[in-house]
Amino acid sequence: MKPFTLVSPLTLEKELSNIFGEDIKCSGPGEVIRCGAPGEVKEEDQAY
Amino acid sequence: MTSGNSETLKPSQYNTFVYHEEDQAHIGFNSVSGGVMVFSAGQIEVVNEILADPNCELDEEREEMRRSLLEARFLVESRANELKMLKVRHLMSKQGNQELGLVVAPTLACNFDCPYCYVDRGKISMDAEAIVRFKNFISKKAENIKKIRVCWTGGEPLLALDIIGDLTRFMEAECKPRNIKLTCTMVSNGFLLHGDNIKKLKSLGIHAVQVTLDGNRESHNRSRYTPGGGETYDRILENVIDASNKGLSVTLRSNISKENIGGVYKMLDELSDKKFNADFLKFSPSKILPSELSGDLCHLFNPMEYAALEPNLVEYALKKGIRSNILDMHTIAVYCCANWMSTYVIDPYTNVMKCWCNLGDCKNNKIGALAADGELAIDFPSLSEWAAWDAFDIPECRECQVLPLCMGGCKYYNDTGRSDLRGDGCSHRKHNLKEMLILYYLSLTKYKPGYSPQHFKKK
Repeated sequence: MKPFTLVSPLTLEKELSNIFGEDIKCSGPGEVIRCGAPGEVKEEDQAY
Repeated sequence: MTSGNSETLKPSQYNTFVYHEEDQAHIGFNSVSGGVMVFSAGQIEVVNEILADPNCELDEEREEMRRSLLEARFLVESRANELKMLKVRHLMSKQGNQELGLVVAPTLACNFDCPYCYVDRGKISMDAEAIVRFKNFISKKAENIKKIRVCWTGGEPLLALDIIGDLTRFMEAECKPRNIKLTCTMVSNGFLLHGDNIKKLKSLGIHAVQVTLDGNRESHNRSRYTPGGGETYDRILENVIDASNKGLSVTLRSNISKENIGGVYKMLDELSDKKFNADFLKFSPSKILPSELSGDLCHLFNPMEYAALEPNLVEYALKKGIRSNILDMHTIAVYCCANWMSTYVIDPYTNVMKCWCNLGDCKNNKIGALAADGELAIDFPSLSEWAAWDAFDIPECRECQVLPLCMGGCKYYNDTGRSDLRGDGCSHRKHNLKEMLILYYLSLTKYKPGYSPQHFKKK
């Protein structure tokens, strides 16, 4: 019995490899800067 | 029951469930993992059973569901303190130094005269000495980083395309031999975003541009005009459509106020009648922050009011075939450039600040400046004002289910927002999370081109 995964989660394993690995920022769903300040733009369309 | 190595489990404190009646779909969202799962009626019964007693004995079929919930972090180990884990993620990202983030204003000159603009406009652009300081800064930083992320702003950056070209080519030359990833975006008023400039931006690797339309012709032209009052709406609309069709990503921002909300709906009507590439054009409605920079404050929505109108506005756009990037409910580690230690806002004098809003008064808000040799001379007391601010110090944030989505929000707004328009001071997402989650689901299903409802007919 598996649910339908609509958006893949940032798994703990992936987060740990990001935080303590070479790339210190979260990637995938975590690689985001969101800002309500005037003028902020998203870096990638599905993310920042 | 266990996570597989004798650990007992508990439900995450960051789970949200909503029900979409038409599809008979139960939608589960965890704001730490960002995972979205869809459950049938039969499945949600099992989910509820597991969340009520995460360690109960289960048959193999239900055990598979428990494993799915654990992987997506709807379940966590009993000993896990999720808030502390979030804080570690936040601090590690905040202090990371392998990625350099830059918001660069090569000029403060602008071809617009918008009454609400917060930038200290003038004809100043980077001179030859400033360009050398910037290049030397890049050369020093390039020694020990893996990524440079640049957003060009202004003033109007398209008035300084020659400087942007020079600096971009220099950064490319520094990055390539070191295998440093360089990504570039731009915030422009869009008036000069014509075919030739679209081509130039793409050749410079600038893959996304944010352009603002504050509603339809009538409302936009009332707030975004050239010096002397020249109209700008038609030309900008034509430019952003052309840009999307040429493969340049456009974030179409609308600053929402009580005065222009009707015009924004009309602008969406007009846009939907045009032939644009929906993969490269995303609607981005934005609540104007009630700071002293906001001009006539009586027209602003407070967070509660905005939370109530936002789902309707975004769904209206979706129905018109216009997608919105604000639906992407990503979990984040840090809110914005002002909170990241290795991200800087740089003005044409190469003063260095932490927040875009400080472009309004660079000299009084700088946290440092670039020296001739490219060293960043930090003003430690000023930097500390920004760097020490932390959402985890705020009791309401520590208790909030939306914390992984907003990380405390905008420090500038928290510092300067007028109290009668701030509501509870929180992100409006806190007040419409469930409504926006349903729209997020719809944007990925019903409103997604090529979607087939057969996806959900499976067990």
